[in-house]
Amino acid sequence: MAMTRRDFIKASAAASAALLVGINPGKAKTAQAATTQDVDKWVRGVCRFCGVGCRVELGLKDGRPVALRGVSGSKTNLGFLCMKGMLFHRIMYHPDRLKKPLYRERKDQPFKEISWEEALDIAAAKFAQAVKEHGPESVAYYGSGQCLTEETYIFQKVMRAGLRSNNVEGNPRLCMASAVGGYLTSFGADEPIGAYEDIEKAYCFFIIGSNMAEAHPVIFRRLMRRKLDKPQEVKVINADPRVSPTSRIADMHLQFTPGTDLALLNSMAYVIIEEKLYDEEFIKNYCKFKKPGKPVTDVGFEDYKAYLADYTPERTASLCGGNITAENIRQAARMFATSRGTMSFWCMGINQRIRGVWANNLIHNLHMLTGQLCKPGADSFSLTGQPNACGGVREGGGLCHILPGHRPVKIDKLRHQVEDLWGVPRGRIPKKPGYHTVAMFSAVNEGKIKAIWINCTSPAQSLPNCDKYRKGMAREDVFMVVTEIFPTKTTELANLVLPTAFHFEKTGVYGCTERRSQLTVKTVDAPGEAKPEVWIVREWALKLAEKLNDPVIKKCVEPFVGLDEDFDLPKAIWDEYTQKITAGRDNDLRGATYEVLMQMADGVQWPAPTKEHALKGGTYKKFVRGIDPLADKHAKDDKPYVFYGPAHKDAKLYFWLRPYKGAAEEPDSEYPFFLSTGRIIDHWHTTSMTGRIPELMRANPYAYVEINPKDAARLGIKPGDMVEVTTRRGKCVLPAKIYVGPMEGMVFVYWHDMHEDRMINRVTKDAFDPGSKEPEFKICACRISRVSGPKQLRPFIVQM
Amino acid sequence: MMKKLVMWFFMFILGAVLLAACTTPGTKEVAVKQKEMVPEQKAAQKVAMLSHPALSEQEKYIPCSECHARTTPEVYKEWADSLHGMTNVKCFQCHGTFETFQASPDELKCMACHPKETEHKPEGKHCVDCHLEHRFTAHK
Amino acid sequence: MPVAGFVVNARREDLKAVVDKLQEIKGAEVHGTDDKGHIVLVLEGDSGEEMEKVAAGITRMDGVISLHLAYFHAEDEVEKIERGEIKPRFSFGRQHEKSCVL
Repeated sequence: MAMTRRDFIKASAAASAALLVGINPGKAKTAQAATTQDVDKWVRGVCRFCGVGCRVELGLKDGRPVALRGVSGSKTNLGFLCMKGMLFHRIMYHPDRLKKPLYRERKDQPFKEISWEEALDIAAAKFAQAVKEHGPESVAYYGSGQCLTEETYIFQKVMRAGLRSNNVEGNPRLCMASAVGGYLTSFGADEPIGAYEDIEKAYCFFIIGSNMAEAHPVIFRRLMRRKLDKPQEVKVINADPRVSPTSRIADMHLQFTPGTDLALLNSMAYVIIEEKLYDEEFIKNYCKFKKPGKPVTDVGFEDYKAYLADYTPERTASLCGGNITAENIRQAARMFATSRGTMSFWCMGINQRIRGVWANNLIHNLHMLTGQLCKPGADSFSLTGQPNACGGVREGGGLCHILPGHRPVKIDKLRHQVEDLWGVPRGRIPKKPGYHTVAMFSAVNEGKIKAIWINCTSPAQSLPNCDKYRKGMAREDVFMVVTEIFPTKTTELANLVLPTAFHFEKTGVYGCTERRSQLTVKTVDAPGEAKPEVWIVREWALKLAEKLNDPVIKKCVEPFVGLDEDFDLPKAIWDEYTQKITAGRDNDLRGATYEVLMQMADGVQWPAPTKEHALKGGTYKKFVRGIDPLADKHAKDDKPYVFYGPAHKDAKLYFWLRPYKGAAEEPDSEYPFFLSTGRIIDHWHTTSMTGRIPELMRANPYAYVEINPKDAARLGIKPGDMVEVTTRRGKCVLPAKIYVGPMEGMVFVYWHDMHEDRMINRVTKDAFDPGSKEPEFKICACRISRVSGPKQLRPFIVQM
Repeated sequence: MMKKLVMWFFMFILGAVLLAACTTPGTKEVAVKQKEMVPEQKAAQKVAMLSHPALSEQEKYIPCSECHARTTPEVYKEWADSLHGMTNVKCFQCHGTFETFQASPDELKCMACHPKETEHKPEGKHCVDCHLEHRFTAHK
Repeated sequence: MPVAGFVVNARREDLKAVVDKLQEIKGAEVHGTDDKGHIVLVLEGDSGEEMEKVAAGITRMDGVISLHLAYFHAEDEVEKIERGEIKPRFSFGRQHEKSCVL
């Protein structure tokens, strides 16, 4: 090889240096690191992670994803992304991606690769066999708030009308079922009335049971911006047993003992009434007071007032403990009531509770009491954790008790409506709701469910007290299909693992927290043989129809036969869902066709009954005449607001007289600490995705147990020490983080870690809200003890 | 050491004879152009991780900010009090991790959240040329 | 594009770690080592100034005892300075400090 001039100079340089110390020079390999990549095309879509619904652009280089960026002026994120979002393209071609269908007859055998033909045949045969031998109740579908709306819709259609089973559930049961219950019972209609747009118009933020700085960073940024723009006028109240990064922008942090927030909320209402800060006009025009019981009784304002008499700020402050004083409660109530626009934000801290629905009702009570609803900058706004929990599962019929279009399954009229629209015989969909999540996996444990399809979620890690339910999933007589992109704790227990296309590898709609539907169109090919779920369901249903010799099953997917799975198939499903099913419902999406969504970069907010309205972006605020076309349609007088929600025939908002009730499991002498779980900014849910991004894994390699410094000093625990967290259900061993975060007497653990020692859902409690059936992940009792000094730990991700 | 190198450098300025010119690399047209870093930035990038005290595999799992709050408190404070600090935009998001460290982040990183700003900045300038590092509040 | 040859004196027990680290530097080539802890290093950079900083960084690496310059070839840099294309910078502010402090 010819030596270049530079090589010659280098050789001379090496020789001169070598001569000094008498070494024979010989070149070693030089490491070269690429620092940046060029992008030749940007394509639009929506972020894959949380429920905020950030609009993103995926950067492609030679057809491969290499970068991600926000778009200035986007309605949801204003162009900003969080670290998870900006790195998500890195997992698209990750080597761990599942690329071929995998099967094993027994769960103790290794998987072997099979063809799609065989895989769908097996899936259909097993489900058909279960239905034949044990009836429709022996099969189940467990989906996810990360599935596209089209996917959830077609799955539940085949399950309900095809297999005649209402065993259609999904992980949103674990995250927002209580919010649904709250909205329906208080306002008569699910999902927030307002939108993110209200943030820039609000003057008071009441954040309770949410660490939005970490769980919804991009929305938090909007709040922070608002606070910094008007630091004196805008007030932020953060109520949480743990001081979190969210508290940084707060004027006031109310730190209460876990579980006492119901009393706190009632006490704020007490102060608002006592100091006459309520909006008499709003209450008179739009509200009713309801006393729960059988039957529910109508009461008046005076009864409500009398009912709150127990919650004087003084009594409540002593009950709440922490840093709360009676004066704090009064101040918070005044800020809430007197601001020109108050927005409440809450998430899992309120929802994942044995009385999650009540807690939701009590927040809504405050908004009704003060008239902080429907006007600019005022809303009772529940945050959502998954990108399509609202759009797909809440609206698309992804839970056991609801049909698509916000229809309770047990109401004959609405059920028959759906059966007629689908063209299946009346009575095809059972009247009785199926198993809710905890009941479903209990039924798996008991062997009542013989075949279960788990789609795009990992219940083996995300269910509370998960060891108990993993036993059921591991049963040899339970056939388990898992559709996934990566190996997870759940694929470990599957018989059949089907590789699916990921975001941007398939087409479909995500509906985010603020009723906004956004379309992401297929841009890149899925690796290997991975397929979109809509194709999988269609093919599976056709085989089922054959095996069960049932033409109605075929009827469910007949309109979609032969369509191209990358675009035409999801489009046809979306058309059926929006044009037929949402017509005339409160989430009317008829205007939001694919054609419109392709034009509307920021998507459309429902109600959007017409194309004209959808092309204006849809409805920013529900129930307000002049903004919401359905409010105009349903108006019977000239009042500005019309609460036409499907659950309240009288078009009123209901105050619920809900008492304070503590957690299902409170600390005692044996288990003296509160254990609470939550999220960290760098990871998302079970880390099956974020754990495969090296930057994020470096940033947060494993779960810690956060301990208050006072408790740590008392127990002789030092930073990094290994600590055993024991509950009545089992124990975990995690490194300690000593931190003025959780209050004294409480420890906090992140739930993302997949490692058996640190998987905190092995010890959380599976008690659930009797109304919403959402488990109480947020509170149980534990004891902690130091087991050793710091240990070498390694991050862990399940491999196939 | 430094003196010695400088001395050598000036000796060569006096005595060097240039034999040939380097070939200039052709410019490629792409949608995103990474601005050529000035030599100083490049050097900083190389030096920064080298002069970092050696870390064990375990220590590399500690967030940068945990040590830097103590070792470079002024830099930490710049970040912690900034909008980035408040919204949890962490060190690694701009600077990368130990494997991908960049003292001066390339613009693709800025672009993730500030697409418009990276397009409208003056030609040939890098964001940090004008904006205060870590704070980004004002122009220098 | 100057080129320089150096002898790096490393602690014997750290020799391998130092070589690994040196190889991570862009434009650095290791041309040999011996069991006394000597490393023959060739650096190539865009400017003398830049190389100076890289060298300064190397002296602060764990396990490095000293660094000696044995050969320096300034190449076209001198010409560029003469033509006014490069202006040697002498900075004493934070800008300069930053690259050394980190």
